[in-house]
Amino acid sequence: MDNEILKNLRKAILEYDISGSASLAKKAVEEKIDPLKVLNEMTKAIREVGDGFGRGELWLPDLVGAADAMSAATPIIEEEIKRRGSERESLGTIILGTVFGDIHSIGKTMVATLLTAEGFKVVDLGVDIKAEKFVEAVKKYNANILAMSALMTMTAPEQRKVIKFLEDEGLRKGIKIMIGGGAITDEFAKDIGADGYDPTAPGAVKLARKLIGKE
Amino acid sequence: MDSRERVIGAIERKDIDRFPIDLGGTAVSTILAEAYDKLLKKLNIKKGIRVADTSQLFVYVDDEIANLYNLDITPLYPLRDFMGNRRDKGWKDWNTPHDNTPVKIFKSFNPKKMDDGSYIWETGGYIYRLPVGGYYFDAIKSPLENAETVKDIEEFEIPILDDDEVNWYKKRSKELREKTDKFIVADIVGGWTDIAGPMMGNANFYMAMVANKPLVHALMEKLNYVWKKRVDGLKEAAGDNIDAIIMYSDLGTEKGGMYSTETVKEMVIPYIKDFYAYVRKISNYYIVLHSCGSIYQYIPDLIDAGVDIINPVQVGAANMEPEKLKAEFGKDVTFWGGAVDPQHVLAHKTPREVSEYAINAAKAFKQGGGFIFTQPHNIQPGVPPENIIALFEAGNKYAAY
Repeated sequence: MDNEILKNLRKAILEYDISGSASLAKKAVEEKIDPLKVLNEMTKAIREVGDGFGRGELWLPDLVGAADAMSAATPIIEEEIKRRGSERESLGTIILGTVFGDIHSIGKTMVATLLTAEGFKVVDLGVDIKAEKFVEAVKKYNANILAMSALMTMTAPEQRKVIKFLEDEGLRKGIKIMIGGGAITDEFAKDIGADGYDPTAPGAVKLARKLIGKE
Repeated sequence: MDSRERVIGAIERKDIDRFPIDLGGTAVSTILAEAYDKLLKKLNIKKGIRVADTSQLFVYVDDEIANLYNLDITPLYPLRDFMGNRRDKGWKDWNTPHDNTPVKIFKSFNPKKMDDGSYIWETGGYIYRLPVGGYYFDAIKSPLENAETVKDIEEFEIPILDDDEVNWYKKRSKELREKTDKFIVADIVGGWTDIAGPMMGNANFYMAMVANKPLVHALMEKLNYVWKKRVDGLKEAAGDNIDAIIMYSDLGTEKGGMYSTETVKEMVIPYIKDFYAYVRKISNYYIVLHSCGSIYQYIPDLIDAGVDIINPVQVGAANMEPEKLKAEFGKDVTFWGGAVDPQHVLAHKTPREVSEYAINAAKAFKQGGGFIFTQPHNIQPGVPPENIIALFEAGNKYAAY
């Protein structure tokens, strides 16, 4: 029975079935399956999609679909983990958001989902986030990584502003910064003093691991 | 040789004096108000700026600029702009939220200013938001975002053309044809992925492309029905007073295609093919297909579907190098755009580097015709005016055949 639920949950994620994955997560909780085991199974599924994307076998809709199905189930399982007083081993805390003036969320949310699946604690601030708010969250959560997204050519320079702000606050040394977005390049990332950039969501997960020395 | 003959000559691969040049000829080869303001100032042209579309805040390019850079294309926009504001009800003064550039904007445009300083505009089931510090309105609520079944699509109404719109096309196309010798591109705000995405919400649409195919097919079919009806209306109203129509269907990101080639072949190509065949049956209009990003992998199927003019040719994206595109598809496709890498060169490099890029791109694309010189997509705020000048001076310098 347990295995059957897990198998179906995995299938729901791989087939982008949002309501299916949520109801299977609920069922897993009802059947008292170890939530860490459930989360682990879900992570494997989403990783599979990420790897397929990396190999060029899967595409943007697959990533969005699997990430959506994953995020429908994750809160249900996380709540159960919390209720049981157990804890998922965290790889570190990441503050994430789309910069001020930019309301694009698809790429950012996908990265958040994959990072969460990987085992990071992700604080997703949302879109159109001012430098002050990023810095405030970095302090509040004692974050290991700050991840910023900017889709547009004109909003990308806002990432530079946030980094400058962190420097002014004396916080830059204690945190790794990764950036992403359509118009971003390695050259731009280096130029503004970020620690890393990757063009894809699955690549961002590998980058985050690398930045905290857990490749 | 007048502008119209030149553009037709470029598309038909006839002998022409120089390649045509475009800025402001379509809603995706123009310039945003703030960048335009700086360009006019740099060139010492004193002129009030007229916004041509309230969502992106792009402008009508003035005759002074058209004459200076020998521009060959002019747009026939529909009566209502992208956010539903009428173009025939006069102007009012307004300042762009980002840097307060004074502009003339359509009278009916009266967005709600929120407590946080952002602007909200609601129309036809959409809610658009321009954040503080932002540059344009993006949809935050879409009319079909909860659509799940074919029935949801069937019940959704997409307007065709009302009498006012038909009359507008008729009057404006006649005025344009009489007033100018330029090649006239009409816009019916039609297309495929570009329209369906915002209608459903982009993330929902991406997902439905693989997870709810019947829904996407139903929507595409409905869109094609509406586009054909709009072309019927346009044809009746404008007749031979226009030369081309433009259709929108983004398929690429900077790094590659958004969808697998198979998905596009199954979900998009048949509708493009059907629409092109229809337009060619009832008219002599050229059709420009606008599709952003890296679309290299789809071009063979687009050609099979009848596509022969591609815009914006985003040369900075993966696999979109001018030499490669020209060598592989140059005999079948006219490249309308591709004169510079907009994100990495035009926006950030020096005028000299812009000029060098443009000259090399023009050299690659111009051989044997089939090239219309313009930057990929609209010039954004923050692009230095010196770079824009360098781009169009380079275009003019190397235009001659």
